[in-house]
This record gives sequence, structure tokens and C-alpha cells, in this order.
Amino acid sequence: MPDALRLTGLTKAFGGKPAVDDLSLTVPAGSFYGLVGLNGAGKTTSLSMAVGLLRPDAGRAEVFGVDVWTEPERAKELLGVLPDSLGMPERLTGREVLTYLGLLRGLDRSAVDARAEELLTVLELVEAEKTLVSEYSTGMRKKIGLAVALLHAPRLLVLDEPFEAVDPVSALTVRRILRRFIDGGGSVVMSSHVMALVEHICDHVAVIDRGRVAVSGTVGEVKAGRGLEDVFVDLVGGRVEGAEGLAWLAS
Amino acid sequence: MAGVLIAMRVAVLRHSLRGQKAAYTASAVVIGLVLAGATIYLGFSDGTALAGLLGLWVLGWAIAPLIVGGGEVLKPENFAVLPLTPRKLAAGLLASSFVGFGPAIALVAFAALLPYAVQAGPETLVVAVPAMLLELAFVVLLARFVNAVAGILLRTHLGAAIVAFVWAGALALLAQGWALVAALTQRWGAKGPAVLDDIVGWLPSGWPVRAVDAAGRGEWGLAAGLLAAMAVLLVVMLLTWARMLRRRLTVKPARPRVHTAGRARLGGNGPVGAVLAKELRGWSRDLLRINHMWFAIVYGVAFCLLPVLVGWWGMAPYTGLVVLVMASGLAANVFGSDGTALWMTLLTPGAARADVRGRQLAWVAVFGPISAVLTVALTAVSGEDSAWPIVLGLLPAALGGAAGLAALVSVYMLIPLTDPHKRGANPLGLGDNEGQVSGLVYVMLLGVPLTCVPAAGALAAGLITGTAWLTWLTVPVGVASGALFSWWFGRLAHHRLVTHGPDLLQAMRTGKAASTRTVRGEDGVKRVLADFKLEDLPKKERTIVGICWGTGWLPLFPQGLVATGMLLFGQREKSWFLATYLGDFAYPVAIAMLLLGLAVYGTALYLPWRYKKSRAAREALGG
Repeated sequence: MPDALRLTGLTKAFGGKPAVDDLSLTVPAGSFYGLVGLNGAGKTTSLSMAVGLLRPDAGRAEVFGVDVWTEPERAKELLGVLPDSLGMPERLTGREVLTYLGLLRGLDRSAVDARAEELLTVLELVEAEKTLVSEYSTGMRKKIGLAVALLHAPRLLVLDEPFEAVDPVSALTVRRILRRFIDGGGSVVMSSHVMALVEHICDHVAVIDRGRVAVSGTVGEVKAGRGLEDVFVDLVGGRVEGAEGLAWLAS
Repeated sequence: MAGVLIAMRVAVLRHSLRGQKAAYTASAVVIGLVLAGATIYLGFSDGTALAGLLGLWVLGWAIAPLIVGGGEVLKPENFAVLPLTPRKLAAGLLASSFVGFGPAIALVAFAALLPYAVQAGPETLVVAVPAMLLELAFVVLLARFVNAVAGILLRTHLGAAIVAFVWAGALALLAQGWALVAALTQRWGAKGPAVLDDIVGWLPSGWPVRAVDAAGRGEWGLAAGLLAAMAVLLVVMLLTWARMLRRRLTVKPARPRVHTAGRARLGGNGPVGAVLAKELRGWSRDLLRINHMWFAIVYGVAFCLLPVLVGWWGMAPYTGLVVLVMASGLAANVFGSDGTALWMTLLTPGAARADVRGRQLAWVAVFGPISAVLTVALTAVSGEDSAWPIVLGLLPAALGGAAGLAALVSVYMLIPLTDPHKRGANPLGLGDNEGQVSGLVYVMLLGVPLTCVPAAGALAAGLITGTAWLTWLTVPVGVASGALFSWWFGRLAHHRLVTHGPDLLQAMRTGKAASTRTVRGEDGVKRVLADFKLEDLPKKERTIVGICWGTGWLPLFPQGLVATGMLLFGQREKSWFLATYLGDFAYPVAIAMLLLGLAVYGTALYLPWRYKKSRAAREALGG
């Protein structure tokens, strides 16, 4: 079985400054893969290039062996994506967004309606039946985004910060959904800032630093007997600040 | 406080003046200065004319949020947590609003009051100088004020329609105001226009002129009273604006009510049907779109029916056509105004075609019936029977042509705007590029008639030969050409969306157009690659290139080409063409202007070319 996602030499520069620099990464089929990194390390840029939303300056992205940039139609059948902070059809309600997208995907009416109903119920969005997406809170936007990614039953989910701003109860729901998705043969790649979460729910992890993969492997390999947080701080060479200065804060 | 806000605004403007934006700004500044010069030239010796011109400037500032966008350089929300009273914040924001090219140009125009005052007696300058400054404060505050009022109104369906009525009515009056003047003359003879002059003179915009006049007559009390009245007006407006600001910052706007009876499902079948259903929801729920729809209708109706005031019905049959062109201009950036939601289309196989076709269908479904009803009803009422074959042929031609062209322009000339979910409390705040959107109206104004050429050809043939069946052939030709152009242009649009979709998305993410080049690889497959961007240029060169693009047209076209043409045809009357003032040197000067224009555009092309070359050389060296 080919790898769920294989990135080879991805490169992207903005205004002469490299954002992603010759990044290569392999996500085995059936894995729950976590990407961690500092702000601006290149996680969102890499994921955008991986799914076909941002044109790379160089490099390849393949989903189950299908090149995203030369055979986009086939690759996109296999992909479900939750991008970070992009727009939605703001003037539709959550149910309408799902219906719209299902029909756009060519699913038939009854399947679309049934799936939309189930997704809204599971993600507790039924209450907001009459609310336009433009009125959704950040957490609700994440949840409807996740429903959008799941709707057509993809084989690989690429999720940018899926747990950001999601309440603790919904977060547990989302974790359970993703777990079942993996058990059913799917694969997941997600980025996150929360080390404890990645340590808990992912089986593989890669640390992205300055546009490159600093280390990758199973969570056990990367941790090597320590906490993921310590390994991370060591790897990215971050100095944890806050112990000195700011004297004026004391009242 | 005001000092800090002014410094902030200067910093923001400095950062935003880059590349395309610099070019756009330079163009606008040149046009503005020409208009300001014209105001001084036409107004400094004639009080009535000056009051009228000042009235036009004030009207211009009042509709500025529509023309150049209602965006705020400094957003009040950013200062909401500071311990400031709304009045202090309003005063500070107002002070910062004086920084910019717009107020500077207005000040140049209002300086016409100074030579006017000198003629009335140098001592009246004591009145003219403060009057000039008060007028400037008035327009700057007026633009903020109108924007705030429109922002509040644009939260309800009715409000969106009201805003459209006012703005479209004002614009139509600017274009067809002659009809009003003529109607008054018809009714009361020369007294009619004089009454109009009086009214314009007594509007606040004309108070500075009245004050200078009063001072010239030695009525210093009246002059002082008028200045005081302006000051009071300003204070009242400022206080009202402060109240609106406080409301905006503290009261969350009521949710727009959605008409979803029970669990009404999104209608439609298949991908195109889904987009059509989504778009129709947009036309009934998105208040900015509703505003645009009413704007097009009101503008078209007012534009074509104002001449009826003097009993001329000749334009009435064409109301539907004017509405169509205006509506297509406002809909020619559909992808840009939906912003990064485009990602959904990009990630759905085969969706690009459905997205374009569904939007075209929705636009035709909304404006087809409106324009058809207006056309049939007003042609019948007007009694212009000869217009029937013309409008019945041109209407389908224009409807299809506009639907095709709007799709094409939306993709090929996409203008990135602020994403709808990031616009916050100012529904008119569309981001850095909003001013360019009104330019699309002109693109459609030129483009839609071009798509009507086949129908117009049949019409002309019929009218010239006097053959009735040939004249009526306009109708089938119009239907065919409309269908052809909407199909063909739509096809170009969705193909482009497939090949360049990610680059359009990136443009909307960053607010800057992404440039690409298409290369054919060794395997014969065409690939789109990221290309050199103007943003890559060093800052100084980028600014120079921007200014060159923005100003080159001035020497090249009017002062060069047009002036040469006028000289060739013996037209030497002194006008604003420099060459017409120079007698024997007219030709050399016009040609020098031509060369200057070419040199300016040459510089704009040369600098990026030189940079690209040196970068390629560096890369070759560096491997």
C-alpha cells in the first residue's frame, strides 16, 4: 500500500524569504500524524502545498501515490481538508454549507441529507440550525469545517489546528471521531501547538523548524523516553523567556 | 492622543503604498490635482460657480465611501480597550483622517477661496482662510459620518436599499443634472436656474463663499455668523459620530434574520444547481449584494427617466440595459468578494465549472427578469415604438454578454478584498484594494457594448437599408450572441480557475495578486509556475515603478497624443492641454510630452526587467 502522504523537497519563499525549505515527509497509511512547530515554522504553508491550495516553488506532494499537482482531480477525491482560517460560504447555515458541498461533490441528494444530518448531530451543530456561518464562533467554524472535510468520506484527512478554540467536550467528540476514522482504515495529518494532545492521540510526529523537518518518526522514537515538550524545546533551540525583565508588572 | 493616531496613520499609509497600490494612488492624485486646478481656474472669479463647484466637492466626499471604499485606515475597534471617551476617540480619529492625499487635494481645491477673497478685497482673507479650513474639516468629517451611517443602515434589508437609493440617486443626478436645470428653465425661465444657484449657494458647502461675499460688502457680522454656523455644524456632526462609534464598539449588531422556514433545505440538484441555489441565497441574504442590486436599479431608472422632466422619453426604453451594465459592473468581482471561500471549489474535483456556471445562472436569474420588466414596461409607456426591435435585440445580447464578461473579469482581473468573515463591524471595509472595484464598472461599460456588436450590426443594416425584417433580425442575433458569449467567456473563466485557482486563492489570502508563468515541459505538458512578483523588487524601485505606472498616462495620452491630434486638426483654443498655450512651440511640446510618457512607462518596464536579469545571474552563480 502506498504512503498516505509523501512530500518531497517542498519549497516556498515569500518575498525572497524562505517559508518552507526543501521539506520532505512521509505519512504511512493508517497513521495519525502530528505536525508541531513554532509560530511561523511553515506548518500551514506546507499543508497548503500538500493538498493543492498553494503552488510550491519546487517539490512534490503525493496522496496515496497520486501527485496532487499533476493529477489534482484524482488526488482530491482522496483528500478531506480543514484549512486554517479560510473563508466559507458565509451566507449559508451550517446545514446548507454541507448540502451545498455534497451536491457540488456530485453526491446524490438523499446521501447528502442523511450525512449532513448525522454530522450536525454528532458535532452538536443542530442547535445552530438557523444561524449563518458568518455568525458562528471560532470553535463552531472549526467544527463545521471538520464536517466539511469528512462529508465525502475521504481516505486522508489533513487538518490545520483542528482543536484550536474548540471547547473541551467537543474536543473529546472530535478525538473520538478521528480515532474511529483511523480504525476504519483512514489516515490523519494534523498540525497543533498543544504538545500534550499530540503526545496523547498521535502515533507519529514531526517537528517542523524554520521550514524543514527537524525530526520525525513514531511518537516513541521522537520522545526517546523524555516528554515531547522537552524534546521540542531542545530541537527548535527555543529559549523559554519570562523569568527576567517585566519588573513593572508587579503591583 | 491625536498625535499618536496621526503617526499611526502615517505609518500605515507608508506601508501600504507599494507596487500596484502606489500606481493606483499616483493616478488618483494626478486626477485629483487636475480637478482641484480646474476648480481654482473656473471658480476664483465667479461666486456662483465657486459655490457650485464646492458643492460638487462636498457631494464627492459624501459618496466617497462608495467610489473609493469605506475602509478605515485606523479601525476604531483597535482602540476599544483604551480608557478613552467616545468623543476623545472620535476627535482623535478625525484628526488622523486629515493625513492623506485626499484631504491635501481637497485643500488645494478649496484654496480657490483665497484668490476669490483677494478680488473681494484683501481684508476678506481674514474670513476666507478659516472658511477654507472649516470646509476641509467639513468634508473629512462628512466622509466618516456618511460611512458610519451607511454602516448602520447596511445591517437591514431596508437600510441597504435606502443607502442604494441615496447614492445611486446622487450619481445619476451628477450625470443627468442638466435635465433638472432645463426643467426649471422651462417652467420659470431664467429665474429657474437662478433659484437652483441660490439653493446650492445656501447649502453648507456654499457658506464659505457667502461668508467671503458678506465680508466684501462689509457685513462682518454675517460673515462671522456663517463661520460660527459651520463650526457648530462640525461640532454637532462630531458628537453624533462619537455616539455612533460608541454604539458600534459596545453593541453587538443584531443577527441578520434568516428566512429558513423550519428546516428548509438548500434546493438545487447536481453541482451547478447547488451553486445556483447558494448564489440565490446570497442575493437574498447578503446585504452588500442587496445594496448593489438596488443601486443598479435606482441608477438605471433615475439616469434614463430624469430627461422625462423636460418631456423627453427617448432614453426610457434603455433603462433595462443601463441597469444590466451597472449590475454587471458590480458583479464583476464575484470571486474576489467571496474571498478565500474559493478553497472549497479548488478542493472539489470538477467544481470549477459548476462554480462559474452556477454564478452566471444566478446573476441572469436575478437581473434578467428585472431588466426585462423595466425594458418592456418603459418602452411601452414611452411610446417610442421604433425602439422595440432595438431593445428586444440588445437586451438578450447584453444579458448574455454581461453574464459571460462578468465571469471572465471576475477570474482574470480578480481584485482581492478582505474576507467577509474578517470585515468586522464596518460592512463597507473591503480592504486595501477596494478603490479598484469601482473601476470594474468602467471595464463593463466598455466591454458589454462590445459583446452587443453582432446585434448592433444587424440593427444598423436594417435601419440603413430600411428593411424591416433585417431590423427584426436583431432579436435572434442578439439571443444567439448573448448565448455564445456567456458560454464562451464562462468557459474561459472556469478553465482559468482550474489552472490558476491556487494563485487566485493566494492572492486573496495575501491581498496581492500572485504572478505566474506557464511553461511547456519536456513531456509536452503545460505547467503553471510561480513567477517573479513586483513585491520582490527592492522597496525604492518598487515605489518608482508604481508611480511611473500611475502617472505615465498623463503626458502620453492627454498632453501628448490628444494634444498632437488637436493641433493636427487646427484646434488651438487654449484649454488644459499645455501645448495649446505655447504658440510656435506647440508641436515640440506635444511631442516632448509624448516622449516623456513613453520614457515613464519605459522606466516602469525597465526596472523589473533589470532586477529579474540580475537575479537570474545571481542564481546562476549561486547554483
